[in-house]
Amino acid sequence: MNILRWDMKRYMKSTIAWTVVLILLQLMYAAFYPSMAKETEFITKWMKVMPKAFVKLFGLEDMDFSNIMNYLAMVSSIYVTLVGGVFASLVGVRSVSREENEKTVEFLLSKPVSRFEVVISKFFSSLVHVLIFDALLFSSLFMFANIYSSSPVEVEKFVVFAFSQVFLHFTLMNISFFVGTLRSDGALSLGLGTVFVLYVLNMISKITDKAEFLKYFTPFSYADPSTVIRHGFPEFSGLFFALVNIALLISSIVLFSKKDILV
Amino acid sequence: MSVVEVRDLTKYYGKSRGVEGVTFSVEEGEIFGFIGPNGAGKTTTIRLLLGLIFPDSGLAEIFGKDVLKEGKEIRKNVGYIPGEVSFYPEVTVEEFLRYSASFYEKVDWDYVKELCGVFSLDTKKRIKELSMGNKKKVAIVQALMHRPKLLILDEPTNGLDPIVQNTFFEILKNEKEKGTTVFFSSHILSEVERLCDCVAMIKDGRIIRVEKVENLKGERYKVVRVKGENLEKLKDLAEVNRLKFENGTAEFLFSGNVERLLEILRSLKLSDFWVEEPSLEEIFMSYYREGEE
Repeated sequence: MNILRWDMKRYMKSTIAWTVVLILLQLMYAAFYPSMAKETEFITKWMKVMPKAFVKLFGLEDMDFSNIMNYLAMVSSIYVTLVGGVFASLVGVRSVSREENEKTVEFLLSKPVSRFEVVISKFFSSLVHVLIFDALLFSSLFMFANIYSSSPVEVEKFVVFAFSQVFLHFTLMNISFFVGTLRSDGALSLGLGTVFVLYVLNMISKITDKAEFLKYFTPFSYADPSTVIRHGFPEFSGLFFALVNIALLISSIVLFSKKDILV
Repeated sequence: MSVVEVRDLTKYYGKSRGVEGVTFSVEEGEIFGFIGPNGAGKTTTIRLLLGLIFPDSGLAEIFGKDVLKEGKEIRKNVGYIPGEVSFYPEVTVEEFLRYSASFYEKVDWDYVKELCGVFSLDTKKRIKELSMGNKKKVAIVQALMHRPKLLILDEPTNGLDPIVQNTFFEILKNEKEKGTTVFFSSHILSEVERLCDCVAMIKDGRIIRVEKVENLKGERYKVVRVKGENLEKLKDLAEVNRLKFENGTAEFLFSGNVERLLEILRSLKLSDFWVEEPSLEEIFMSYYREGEE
């Protein structure tokens, strides 16, 4: 517990900073909504002249902006999904790798703790940071949606959407946690790079049918905001996230328990 | 009972050698010096003892427990001072010491206060604001706070000025009196000579010799300087090591019994001679050379 508490405190400022910035960005976009809603007709026309690929990319086909959820899904596909994903990745990747890069892991492992305790504490601390971020982000988002929406917000849809994003962030954190445990040199770029590659894979899969199979290899497709809001979050996606996360966590634990710590 | 027992420990980093067939044991209550040049394998041995790295073969036990299987249990009673201190830079000394204490069931806070006082450590300062010497003091405090039965020190005097070194040695002597065992790695021979009961020499990953310090410093080794004629004869004698000629004087390290030394001296036509105790450095240099031959 002491390692978990230490890491919670150590990274709290960073988590709060990311959360506040993202909340403000969401507030800004939500505040634009009423004027967007008034111009629905114009936007629909505008969408028709936009390149097909662009429209698909942001899930804008047949998009009805009279519902704020659809609008939020579009905005979220960048800010919540990608930027939130970057935050989650950062949280995961630094957890073990920073201890190694700053050589504090030598101090940690000279104490009466097992490798398992160290890695599991760090994992849960990362998880809690992501959960704090998401809890604050989605409760603010829900509030903004209610303030700026002309009609009542569909709570169930919103909750499904929020949970899909939490699963995504958690998975990205877990992938990066594994990367940071695997190697400490350049872990940050490797972890963030992985997130961007996965994000781009999802985009490519949406643009052409030929590359559609790519969507099976990236967690972003399973939690794509506009898909989730229109079609919900299928059980299959939940299963995917569960399996991937269990596999990653076990790999990180085994890896950290067996690796030579050379500082 | 031996506190540390190491048998045939071998570790390679990929293809490069860490240690090879290292064997030694440290008895309870002694200060055990572990000495060798940089890159000899001192830190590798310590990492193996702490369970930071895993051996390719061999066995390491502390308090009769396998370091691989019962590392956590062992480390409850071990204090470790790293060679290069790397602690969380953004926290204060006090926060850091509290974190360090949170790993132990029992911490002697009076002792912590006493040590901070002796070292005049400002516990309100952040770690990153401390000089190398002051960081080392923090490392000493966090290693001693739980009154460990075994101290593992990796070149602990690095970065400490001579006055603080003295204070530190006094602390180690006190610990020894209380029955604490100390494993002390160093490349500075004078400090080992001053402090240790027993010493192991390591070179190129292998233990060259394990010896009681008193034996090493005993009669068997003398630095001899002689002035006179026929000094060339010395070259052929087996007991004469590291012979140097300078301005009609010859200096060498003699190993053998005193009778034999007198015999040799008598056989030379001397106008003057000096016999001195060698430093450990000189003894080790001769060992290193023997190792090479």
